[in-house]
Amino acid sequence: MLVEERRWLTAQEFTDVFGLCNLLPGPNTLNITIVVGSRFHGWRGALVGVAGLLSLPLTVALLLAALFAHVGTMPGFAAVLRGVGAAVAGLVLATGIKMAASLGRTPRALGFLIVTVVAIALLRWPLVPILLALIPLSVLVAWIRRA
Amino acid sequence: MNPLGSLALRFAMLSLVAVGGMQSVLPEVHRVVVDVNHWMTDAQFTQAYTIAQAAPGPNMLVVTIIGWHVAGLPGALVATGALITPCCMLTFTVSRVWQRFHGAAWRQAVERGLAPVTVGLILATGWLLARGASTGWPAMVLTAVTAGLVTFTRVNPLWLFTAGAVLGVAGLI
Repeated sequence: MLVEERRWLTAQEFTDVFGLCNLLPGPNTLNITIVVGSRFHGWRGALVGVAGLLSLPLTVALLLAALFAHVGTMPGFAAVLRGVGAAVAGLVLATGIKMAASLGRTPRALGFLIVTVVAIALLRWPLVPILLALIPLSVLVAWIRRA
Repeated sequence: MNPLGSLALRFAMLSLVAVGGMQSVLPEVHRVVVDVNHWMTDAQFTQAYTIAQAAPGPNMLVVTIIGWHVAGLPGALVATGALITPCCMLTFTVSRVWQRFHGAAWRQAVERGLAPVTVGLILATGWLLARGASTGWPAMVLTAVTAGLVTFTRVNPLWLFTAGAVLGVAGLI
């Protein structure tokens, strides 16, 4: 939409913005909105963009949250959620597997992947200190091994 | 500390390390909500995620549902606000100076360094959701079959969700 319909960005600019937004923390759609919004209208543009992106889904999420609080314990609804939940877990695992397959097959990538999964999923260590240790290390190794 | 303050503080901190999107911090949200504070059970966490997945919009809104579960409407708003505000402000700040670093060599190292950690976090999220969903072997089989089919075929996941709903109603999961 940004590139083809509105021509707010060239394809090259979009790739650049997209790369940046994937590096920064937070959902990339939200980050893209902020970068583009602020480029055109400063902080007001960013704020309006975020409000536009989130207001409808947030309203729906609030309604669902209220609903979940009331009917989440109802046997029929809970049964459906249990079943779908098992499939959703599989979907998330598949996303991870496909992304893992697209990583370069280097000992570095595999090593950091395994350490992350073991520390976070199996050992249940707190995320923040783990990331503060792992990310600089991983970036450093990638920097040293750059071709 | 009361749940609201605790939610705000924890989620605001997580916001700044959510590299690769909110899915990356879900294992930590799970740890805080289920393991440390016992605000939800393992199964409720997976249910909340399932609902967020079904809703339109970014599935980070799972934290809205978790916030509501912990402290009602204020909890939902505080949880969502705490999780998006810091990363938004960071993006806003960085985007102003970014163009100066266009095409810098270290950018590629950062991208390549972040990738395996981000993927590891998504796999960890999948693992924890699967744990919360596993009510017995039929649930585990459905999780494994979904993971396999979605990885290796182009099947629409909606079919597998439907299968899950049917199995759930039939009392098998």
